[in-house]
Amino acid sequence: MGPDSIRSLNAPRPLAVQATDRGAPRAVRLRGHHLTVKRILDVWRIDNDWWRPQPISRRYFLVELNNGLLQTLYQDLASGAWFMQHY
Amino acid sequence: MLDHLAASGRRPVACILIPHYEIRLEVLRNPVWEGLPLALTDLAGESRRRIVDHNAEAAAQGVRVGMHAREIAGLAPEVTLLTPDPLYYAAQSTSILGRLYEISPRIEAGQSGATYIDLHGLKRHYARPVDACQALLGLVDPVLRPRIGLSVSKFAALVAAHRAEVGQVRQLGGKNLQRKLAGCSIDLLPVEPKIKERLRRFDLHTLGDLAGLSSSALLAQFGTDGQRIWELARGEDHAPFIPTEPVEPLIERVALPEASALYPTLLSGVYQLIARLLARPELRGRGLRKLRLGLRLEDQRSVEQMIDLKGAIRDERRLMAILAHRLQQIQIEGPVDELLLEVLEESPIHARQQALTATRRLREREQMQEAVRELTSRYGRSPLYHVVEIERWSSIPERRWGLIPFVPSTRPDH
Repeated sequence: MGPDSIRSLNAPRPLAVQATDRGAPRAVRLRGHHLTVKRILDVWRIDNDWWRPQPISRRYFLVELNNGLLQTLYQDLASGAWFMQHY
Repeated sequence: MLDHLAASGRRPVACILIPHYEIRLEVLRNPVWEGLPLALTDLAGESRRRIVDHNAEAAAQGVRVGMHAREIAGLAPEVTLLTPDPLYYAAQSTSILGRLYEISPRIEAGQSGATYIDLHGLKRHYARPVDACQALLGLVDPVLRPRIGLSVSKFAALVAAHRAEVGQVRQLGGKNLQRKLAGCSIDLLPVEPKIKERLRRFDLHTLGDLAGLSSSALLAQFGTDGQRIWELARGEDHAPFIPTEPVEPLIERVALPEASALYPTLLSGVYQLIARLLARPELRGRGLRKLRLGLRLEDQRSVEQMIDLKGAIRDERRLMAILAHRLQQIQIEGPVDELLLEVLEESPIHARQQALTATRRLREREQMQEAVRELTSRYGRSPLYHVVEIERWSSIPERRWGLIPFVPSTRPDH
C-alpha cells in the first residue's frame, strides 16, 4: 500500500495457531511464546462481500489464553489461514 | 507535393489521427481484443446505455452508433460491449501528448482522436516536414493504428489524415486545395451533427457541393457556421492554431483500503484529496476554478465529474461542500478502489485581511507545516496521520477506521 493510500486501522495480523479437528483454536504462538487456549468465550461468523470476486468468510473466536490474556482471533474460511484482530 | 507545401509559404500542419480512439486504447490495454468486434457505450445507466462508437468488425455484424446496448445481445451476441474508462483515456492522452512535445512545442489537441502539430521551424531538425511526420508516427504505439495527414491548415491536414493508410503519411499540398477537397464528405466538417443532417437534406454531400454555392446562401441558412463551412470547402481555414500548454498535471490520488461504494467512505477520500491539493506548493496563494473528480471502480471502469467553480476557491470547507454535493450526483455502479482529483484551471486569489486573532493560529500552522517538512525529509514520508471514520458500522473491523497522511490545514480559521 503506497503513501497515497488510506491505511486501514486494525488490519488483521497473521498468527500461528494449532487447531482442533473441529477447527477450534487449541494453542497460539504469540510474540515467540507458545500459549494454550484456556477457554473459548465466544464464537461468531462473518460472511460479507459474497457478490465480489473475493468474498469474506471468517470465523472469529474470543479466547482466554493460559497467561490470562483475552485475544480475538479468526480463521479465514477461504484460505484456512489464522489472524489476530481486535473486534 | 512537398514543393507545393513549401512554395505556398504557409505553415505546415500535421494531423495525427487515431480513428475509434477509445476503442483502440481499450485494445492497447487488452491486446486479446485485437480483431474482435467491439462497441463502446456511453456512461448512461445500465438500461439506457447506447452505442457511441464501434470498430469495423462490429459494424460488419450490424452494430451502429446510437443503438441501445441491450439490442446488441440479440443482434450480435459476439460483440464485446465496452464501458468507457475516461480516467484511463485522459491519462493515455496526456502520455501521448507528452511524447509528441519531443518533436514540436506547438501541439493542439483536437477532437475524435485528432491531434494537430505545427511543424513550422523544425527545419534544423528535419529536412522535410514529412520526416517530422515519420518521427511523430514513431512516437505513437502502432496498436493505436495512427495515421498522419500533412497540409497547410488544420482542416486540410485532417482530411489528408482520413485519406491516409494506417501507419502512413498522406500529404495534401496547398495548391488547388479546393479541387483536392471537393470529393471529401461533409462528415469531416467541424460542425454540429444537426448542421450536417440539414446539409444532407439539401442534397449537399461533399465539400465540392458546398464550394459551388454562394457564401451568402450558406450564411443565410446556417449563420456563421455556414460562412465557415463554405470557406473550409474552398480550402480556406482561418481557425487559429491554439497550442495546448504542456503543463504538469496537478493530480492527487487516493487508494481506498477496501473497494467501497459507500458515500462516507468516498467522502473521506475526497477530503484527503482536497487537503493534499491545497497543500501543494504550486497552488500556494492560488484558488481552484475547475476540477475533475474521478472514481476508478474495482472492475477497471471509471466515472468522472467535471466541476466548474464560481470563481477561484481555496477555502477547504467550501470545496468540501461542493465536492460532497457533486459526489452524490455521480452514478456509481460498483465498488470504488481509487479516487482522483485533478485541477484543470486555477488562478490567483485576492488576499483577504486576516483577523488579528488568526495570527497565532497562522504561526502554529506554519510551525506544524515546518515539522511535517522536516519529518518528511528525514523519513521519506511524513509519519503523522489523521484517524478518520470510514465505515464505523462495518462488521469487518479493518474497514471501520482509517489513517490518512496528516496535511496541515491551509484554512486560516483552523
